[in-house]
Amino acid sequence: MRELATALAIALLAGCAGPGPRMPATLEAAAAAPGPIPVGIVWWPADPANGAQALVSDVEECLTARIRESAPEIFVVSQREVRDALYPLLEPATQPATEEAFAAMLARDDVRARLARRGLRYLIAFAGGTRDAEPGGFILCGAGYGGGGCLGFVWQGETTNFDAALWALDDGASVRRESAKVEGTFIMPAFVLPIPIPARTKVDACRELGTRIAAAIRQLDAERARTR
Amino acid sequence: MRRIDAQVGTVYTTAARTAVLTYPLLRIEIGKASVTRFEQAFAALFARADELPDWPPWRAGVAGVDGVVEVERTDAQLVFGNDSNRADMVSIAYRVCLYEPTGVEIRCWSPSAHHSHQRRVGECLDLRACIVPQTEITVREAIARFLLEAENDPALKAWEARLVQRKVTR
Repeated sequence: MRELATALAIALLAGCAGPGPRMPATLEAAAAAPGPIPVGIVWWPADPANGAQALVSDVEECLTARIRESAPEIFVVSQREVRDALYPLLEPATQPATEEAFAAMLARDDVRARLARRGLRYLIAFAGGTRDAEPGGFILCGAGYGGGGCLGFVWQGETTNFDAALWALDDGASVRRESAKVEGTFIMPAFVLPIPIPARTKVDACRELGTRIAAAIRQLDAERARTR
Repeated sequence: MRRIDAQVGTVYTTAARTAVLTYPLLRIEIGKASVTRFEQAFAALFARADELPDWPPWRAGVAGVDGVVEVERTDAQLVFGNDSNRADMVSIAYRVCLYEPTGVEIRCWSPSAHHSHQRRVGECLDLRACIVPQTEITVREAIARFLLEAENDPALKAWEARLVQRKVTR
């Protein structure tokens, strides 16, 4: 019990963004090193009905891992750190509702100062999710004294759609948009035992989007370096 | 956030500090967690925010501050759902008041937030994995609402203007 209270207290200690909070060690390292491109990631607009995903989500983890794999020079700063930096402006209940409002928020001097203090050059705002179609087929199961088993086949189509906007933080402009859409079908044949075979559309779409984002950042940063 | 050029004393009542969310096998010290985030929020909102000692009671008069901000209450509720058709719900409400050092009320706020999450089958076999982040985001949101509301509050702006005037005439 005490561990739980401690865990929550530590999680909540992660920072309120007043002027002058201490920069987390990971960000300090990113900002200080000459090579890495520090990029923030945030789920926006976050679904208020699924608010906990605004602090950590499997899609964020997947995108971060894929971006690192594709372009190791990109240092992805977690959405928890981004939200802490912008607290209280980017909580699911207080976030900008439209893209214009999001751009206006990024254009604010205090917001730019907070992000600049953390050394961020770009911000990835991602959105989207998985939609399931109506399931089809059936499986019948039965059991008797001599044993039991199932027979049948069910399937369910699913589509995952992710979008991401890449924002340049020096001028607060949305500079690139990427998206990924993957369709698949979950199937479960049953012959004695049911064997579920997942569609993996979420993982595939996330990996595709991560690759595209990494390429976009790499290209954009090179272009901007030439004009600097 | 715009920081108010004021030095305030902060007070957390026992009711606010010791609030807990409990359920068999689960206990979250929500009061303690809220105090931590309020401390950060007050540090962001005011030029200086220092916690006042428990004794003597600040209402007897406190010197050296422009105002006293008190978190009077933390009300938290947790309703467990299931993994089919009833969502887990966490709701949190605070009562925060700003006073003159003499004890005259300037403004009180009652920010609140609630979150519900429908668990899927097999999700969060350890319930804490769902409830703790849900609680955290609820605390964050309630205090975020307080900050945004306070920042734009006419009573707070009027108090700030009075402070500026007092400093100029001094």
